[in-house]
Amino acid sequence: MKHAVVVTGIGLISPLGNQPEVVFDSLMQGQSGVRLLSSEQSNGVATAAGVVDFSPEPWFTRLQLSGVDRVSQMGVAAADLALKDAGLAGEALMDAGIYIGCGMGGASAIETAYTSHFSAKPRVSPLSVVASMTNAPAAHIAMRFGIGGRVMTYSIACASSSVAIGEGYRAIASGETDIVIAGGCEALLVPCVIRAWQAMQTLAMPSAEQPETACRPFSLDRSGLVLGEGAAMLILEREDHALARGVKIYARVSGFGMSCDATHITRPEPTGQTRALHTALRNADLRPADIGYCNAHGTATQVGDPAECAALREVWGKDADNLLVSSTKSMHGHLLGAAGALEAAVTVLAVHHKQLPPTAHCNDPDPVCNIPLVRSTGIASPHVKAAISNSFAFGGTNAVLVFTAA
Amino acid sequence: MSTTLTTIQDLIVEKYGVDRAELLPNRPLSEFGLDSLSQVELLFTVEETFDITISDDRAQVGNLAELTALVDELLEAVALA
Repeated sequence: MKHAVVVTGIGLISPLGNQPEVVFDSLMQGQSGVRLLSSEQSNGVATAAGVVDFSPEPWFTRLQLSGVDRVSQMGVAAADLALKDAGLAGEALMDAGIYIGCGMGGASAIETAYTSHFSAKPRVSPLSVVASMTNAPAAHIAMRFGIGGRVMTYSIACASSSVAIGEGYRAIASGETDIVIAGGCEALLVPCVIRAWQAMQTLAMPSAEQPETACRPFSLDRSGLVLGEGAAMLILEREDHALARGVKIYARVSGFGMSCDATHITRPEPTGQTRALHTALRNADLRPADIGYCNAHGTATQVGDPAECAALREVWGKDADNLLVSSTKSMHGHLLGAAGALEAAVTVLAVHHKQLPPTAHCNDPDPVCNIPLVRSTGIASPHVKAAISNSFAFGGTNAVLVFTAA
Repeated sequence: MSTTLTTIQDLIVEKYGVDRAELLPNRPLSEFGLDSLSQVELLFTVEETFDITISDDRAQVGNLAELTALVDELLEAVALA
């Protein structure tokens, strides 16, 4: 039996703020949370990123911060906000689950440890291991809120948190549990990691005058991706459980599809993406024409954007002209392991408010990206009933989530 | 005047935000809220601060008085070396 699954809470620690409605309004207005990193952070090379103004103080005492990396701090904070939003703060959650995506784990802890390791006098903090392990955020969330069911961490690069949400959805749909915290967190804007991304030559080249426009998905003048950090958590709940509690329902999680390109470690393959899209639609029992909005993976790379548009064209066929697409990465950056979660939250809010956020900074759409785009500012879409969120990862894994109006 | 004890107390106040009035020399470290992992990290920080090495067989200290005595002993050994 497949139980209906709904979203009853959203918690965000994002480059555009911590309040979901404020974040969504900012996106609708085309406001960017991207800015230049400090010279020290970016190794002296002008680099833009979606940086979070985050202080752990509301969630941690200094004593509690011992051995807790920034990525776990953000994860706990977002989970707390999501539980409060769902009216579950302080509730007994021992049977609930946690499904978290995280690409790298505690990057700051790793960087600090290696910096010392290669120094003249090597010494490494005894808490380096527990601070840096990829499942630390999920573990800290479990301990903080007393969650004793399945506590899972998915590390699948850019698809990590979409897969986490999809697996959380499957756990509830199958009847295994009533409530899960599903989402992701990532905090890797440290000099060595930035240098590694710079070496890949995939990062956008920001202008000195307008660094906030550095990420320009689907635009002729796109120059690459913009990294971001943050955390986003959704409370997923069995629909009858949520109705019995009488809480607000943002949207229904209706489908999830995955595939692997199995061709190249970085180059995306439209046929692989097509299979994930078909699987998600079949899982949701929907046709392409039923989908009114696609929150695209849209990282603003030369190769990635046309591949995604080709996959959407292939699946939607003649209905592609009725699909509206945007990449909100243009405004919050690419949160990597947390990207799917933040974009899922945005997609849920789009369905909930029947408003579609734009792709910002796409003043001159690339004809190769031949798909209808919402651009510059958001639009009302009174008839949108269903939307998808795409996440396509290095390593070839593709994940597509389907959300429908409750 | 800064003594080994006050330096360690300063360090705990700064690093962990523990109220200085709590930091009585003979009170078990666990009562300050330091679990076993935090205590290991504290010893690491003490080593950094005083530029000493606490061997594993000396690392089992129960309170600040014991830790202070151990640090003073190691500092004296360094001075005599």
